[in-house]
Amino acid sequence: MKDMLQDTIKPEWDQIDKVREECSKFLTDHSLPGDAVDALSMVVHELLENAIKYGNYEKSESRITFTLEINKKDVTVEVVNPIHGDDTPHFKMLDKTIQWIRGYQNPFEAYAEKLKEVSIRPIKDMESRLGLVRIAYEGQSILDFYVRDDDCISVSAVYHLH
Amino acid sequence: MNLQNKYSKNLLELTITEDDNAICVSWKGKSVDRDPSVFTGPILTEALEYCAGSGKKLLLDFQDLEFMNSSTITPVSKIIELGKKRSVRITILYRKSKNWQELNFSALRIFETKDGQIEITGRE
Repeated sequence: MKDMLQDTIKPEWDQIDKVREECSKFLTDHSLPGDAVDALSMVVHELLENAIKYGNYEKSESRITFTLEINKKDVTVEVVNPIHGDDTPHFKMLDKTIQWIRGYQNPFEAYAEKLKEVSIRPIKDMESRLGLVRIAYEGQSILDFYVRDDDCISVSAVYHLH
Repeated sequence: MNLQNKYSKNLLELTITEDDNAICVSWKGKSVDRDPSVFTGPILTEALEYCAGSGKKLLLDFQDLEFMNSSTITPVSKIIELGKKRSVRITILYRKSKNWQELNFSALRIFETKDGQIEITGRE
């Protein structure tokens, strides 16, 4: 059985839950414990949501690629999607958020802080702002990203197997 | 109360029940919409307003929820804060045996109050 699942999807919202289910089955079939399956399938879901929300899909052939790779000591989730070439504010914000999360010794503290922050925002403010910090806390994963030469961004999350 | 007893959108179903003491909003299925607050926000707000007027407790029961995205949590946290301001008693009920629920909902304990107005309860 291969220890890697990779696929390419259209940037359509309905695809996300299907992929999450597919990843959940893949991880279960590889005998990962239930808490790891829950955590990692959530990570895939949140990263794909971000890819659809912030990616560049002006070209009709644009796609999102996701990879789930099981290693001896960890599992890596990677999501790659096309970006707007001049999307510097988004990268800066992404970088700032990841650095901010890393600044906390315990990701729960970062999550709690963000939860308090969003709870007092107006009820009509639709921004979630919790996705990345949820990956760090509930998904117990370490986030990273880099911008590729082909105008794509790769966002990864590494989950350490206990 | 201006609420029906059942609402559903895509993969999520909300059931509203009322007894002498509380209004209960039970969540079932999956909350994975791009912006779940469009669907859940008005229902939660209406239920909260009714509780504020009637003195009943608002019970949000997530035990049968299979999955939710992070955008689902935001309106729930906002309702808790709003409930605090409106002196509404709120209980969040979740399934402790579901690991993701334990991690996710136990984090909401940061909103708990010592007087029991806001309670986060995990059931086995």
